[in-house]
Amino acid sequence: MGASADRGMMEIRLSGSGGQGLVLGGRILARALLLDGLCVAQSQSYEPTSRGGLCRADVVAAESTPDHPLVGELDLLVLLDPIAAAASLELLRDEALVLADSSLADGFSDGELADVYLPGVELADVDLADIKVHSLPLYQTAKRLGAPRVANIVALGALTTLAGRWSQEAMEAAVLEEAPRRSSDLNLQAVRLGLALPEGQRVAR
Amino acid sequence: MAAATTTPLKTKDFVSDLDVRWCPGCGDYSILKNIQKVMPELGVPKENVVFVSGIGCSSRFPYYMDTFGFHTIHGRAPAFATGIRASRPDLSVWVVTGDGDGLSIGGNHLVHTIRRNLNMQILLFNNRVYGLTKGQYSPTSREGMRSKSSPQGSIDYPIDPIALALAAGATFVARTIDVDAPHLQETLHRAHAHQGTAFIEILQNCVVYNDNEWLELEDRKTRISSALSLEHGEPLVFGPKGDRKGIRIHDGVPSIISLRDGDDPVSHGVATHNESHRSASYAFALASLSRPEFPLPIGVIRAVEKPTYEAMLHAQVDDAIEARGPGDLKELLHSGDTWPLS
Amino acid sequence: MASDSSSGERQNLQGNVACALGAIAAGCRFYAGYPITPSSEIAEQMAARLPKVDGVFVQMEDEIASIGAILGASVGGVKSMTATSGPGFSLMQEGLGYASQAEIPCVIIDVMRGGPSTGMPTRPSQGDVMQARWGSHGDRPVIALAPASVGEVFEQMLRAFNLSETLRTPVVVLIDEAIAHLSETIDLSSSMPTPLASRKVATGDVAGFLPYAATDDGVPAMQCPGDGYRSHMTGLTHGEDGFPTQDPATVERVMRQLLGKLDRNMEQIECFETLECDDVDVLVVAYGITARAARRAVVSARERGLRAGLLRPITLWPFPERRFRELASSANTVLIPEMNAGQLCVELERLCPHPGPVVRLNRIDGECISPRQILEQIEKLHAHD
Repeated sequence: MGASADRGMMEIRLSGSGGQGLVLGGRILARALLLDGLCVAQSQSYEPTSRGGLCRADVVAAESTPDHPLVGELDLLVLLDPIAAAASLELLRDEALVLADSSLADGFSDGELADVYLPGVELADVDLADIKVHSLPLYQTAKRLGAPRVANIVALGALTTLAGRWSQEAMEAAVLEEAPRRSSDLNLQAVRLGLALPEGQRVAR
Repeated sequence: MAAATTTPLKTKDFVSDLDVRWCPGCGDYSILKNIQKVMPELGVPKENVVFVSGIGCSSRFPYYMDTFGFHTIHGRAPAFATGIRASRPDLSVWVVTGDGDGLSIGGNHLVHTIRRNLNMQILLFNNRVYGLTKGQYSPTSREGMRSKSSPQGSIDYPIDPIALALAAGATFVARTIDVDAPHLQETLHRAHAHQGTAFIEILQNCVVYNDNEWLELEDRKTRISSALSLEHGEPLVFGPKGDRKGIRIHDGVPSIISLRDGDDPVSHGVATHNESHRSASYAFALASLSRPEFPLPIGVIRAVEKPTYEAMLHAQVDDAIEARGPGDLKELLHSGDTWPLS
Repeated sequence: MASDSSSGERQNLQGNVACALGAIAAGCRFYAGYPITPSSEIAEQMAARLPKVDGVFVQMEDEIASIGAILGASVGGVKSMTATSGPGFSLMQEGLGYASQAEIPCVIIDVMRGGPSTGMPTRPSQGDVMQARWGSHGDRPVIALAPASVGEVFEQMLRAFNLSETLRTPVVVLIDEAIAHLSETIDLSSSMPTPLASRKVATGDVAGFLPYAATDDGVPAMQCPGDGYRSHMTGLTHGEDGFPTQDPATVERVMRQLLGKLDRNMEQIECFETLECDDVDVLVVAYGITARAARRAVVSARERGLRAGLLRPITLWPFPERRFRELASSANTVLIPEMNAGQLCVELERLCPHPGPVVRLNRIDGECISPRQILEQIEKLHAHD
């Protein structure tokens, strides 16, 4: 599809399995973009399984209400679980950025995205040549905080730095507003570690 | 807006100018007359009285009452009445239904409305037949009843309205007879005074399709043996002089005891009627009394106090307003999806 | 960070939440319902918010009872609504017919999911469009609105109550699951100025009062219990006095009045949006979430020099016939993308001024139609020219 009429538009997907906090992650991301003055549209898959099944949260943002609120060509993709890859890789647009959890995919930093995430799956329609893939220890970082469940928050911090399209302040504020109050300190730590994570890390392509 | 009624009302104030069109001899005429008689005695301004009905012969009732009339959908009158009472607790709401409307198509609504215990009266006219559709068997028809839709005899087991109401947790349950004017009027007074859902089964004769179904109860001569007249605090006795009998209830199971003239029923084991017994099992035992083995209980079977739905509902509304301040719409709208569910 | 964005005026709201907020803003103070996916958030929001504005929430035993209760409350003088999805909407059809016949204002939300029967409870669909039009038996006036964004859900709730109250008729709001569960940035402060309307209330003499007497706009004045008027409401065909009649002359008169009510007030009922419709080869007609995809597709088509335009009915029933006929008469093709096996297209085929091609684009797999699908179809239709 040709260039969109929506100015400054971007399409973002957080993808993984149920229970990884992706819906909350989508809400935080949407809030951060709102705080930065953008208009957002956020959706998620409503599957019967709350745990273990494929789960995703999508955010479309633009300077005014996006014409079409659902993703079709992803600019940014976060993968927290290999189960999530198949449904999303073919939606990546040229020059898209992928952030994947490295602890789930050893050897991923070699750039063999398809081999790691889609063993044996034909990807005829997916040209990964222009895709920038970042493999970062999101879960490992969360575990260091003693709370693997905040890997989603670490991912949001890392994505903020890698994408460079919304402010760190907005992301921090959104985390504090949307995440459960009782774990504000933990979440703030998680997002800050995430923000610093890309620095010095190897970029796959 | 018209001024509220101030002068004392009379029976004729509740008579609408429509010609009453039930079959000549229908039991509904007597019920209508008695309700029109009782209405002015209740002290409710007639513009605040709402009669709600569904579909069926009984459901023509609101036409003939000079009050607010609400002739709704088959079986749904209790649901409509719930909406009225929950939003307008100042109104006096009367549901008129029948054995088809209330127990067949509307059985679910009847059960749940009784369970909620909204302050309203539900009058179920039970003639054990579908009259408006001209003579098919109903959920209360006797086993084996031959009708247009059961030419070889009904193989449905009938449902008992009183037992159903009790099972739904009814706080007021009574049974009365269409032609027994004093008892019908007294029961209506009791139902209106009750706080909560008052359920009355009115045995009603369908002169065309199920004539004389309740004859032994309607006829004063046979009633003494076929009916068990319930009086709070009085023993459960029935039968004429010389053939007095009483009801004994042991382990929840009723049985009949014969009494000689001059016997003290209670000392012979006859149960004493207690309409406000905390346990409903006594009322269930009464509900299990059916013809022809037993006399049919007539009167108030159960009357207990429980907070009404609307009282609790409006207490919650008051609490919400007190806790969060009177509703500032702007603030409410802007609170987004972070509204605390306390 | 933009400084005004944290003031609370701009918010990310879910469609179902916006629906509940819109209802409260419109003056709704009574909700009765039965939970059903994907509409349940509306009930939950109403349960949490209504008490604070002195409103009442009742959870009923089923959808039949739900619509019964809101009709009871509305007759009591309170703006009332319920929300459901396909299976519950089917059960509400008898209540909808009653509301039309007795002329009781009420608003019914149908969050459309995949059907038939239990279908796909969590997947979007636009399969109830014809049910909204023809689902209840007999001839009756039908108004159905189909918002296409979260902000529009809020606005259309205000319109739904206004139309329902002023015209004394049920109004159905069809929201597809995609919009219902979508969260979008909306600015509630800019949505608020819509003036709220209320039903006409009976005045004058109690004696000889005729509750369904004809009026200039075809809408009789309403009265509540407690107002002092002796009144009767029934689902039977009734005369001006509210009592049943089968007198042919009376029936003809009151039925014409009932059915003519919408025609006489079409100006306030009709609502649609057009985009790039000045010189159209391919006219796309779309509503709800599909209209968002169509919008993107039409913009992309124009960028490629293809003369595509969009007609987006917001009031779906009655359909904006006149405008459609005008646009269709100058277009070569009419393209109708819908998330059903073909429903609104049947109406458009009927309305099309020339036997020219009305092209259907249908999706019934529980997925939304994408802008790419619509664009490809526009390109194909142009290639045929």
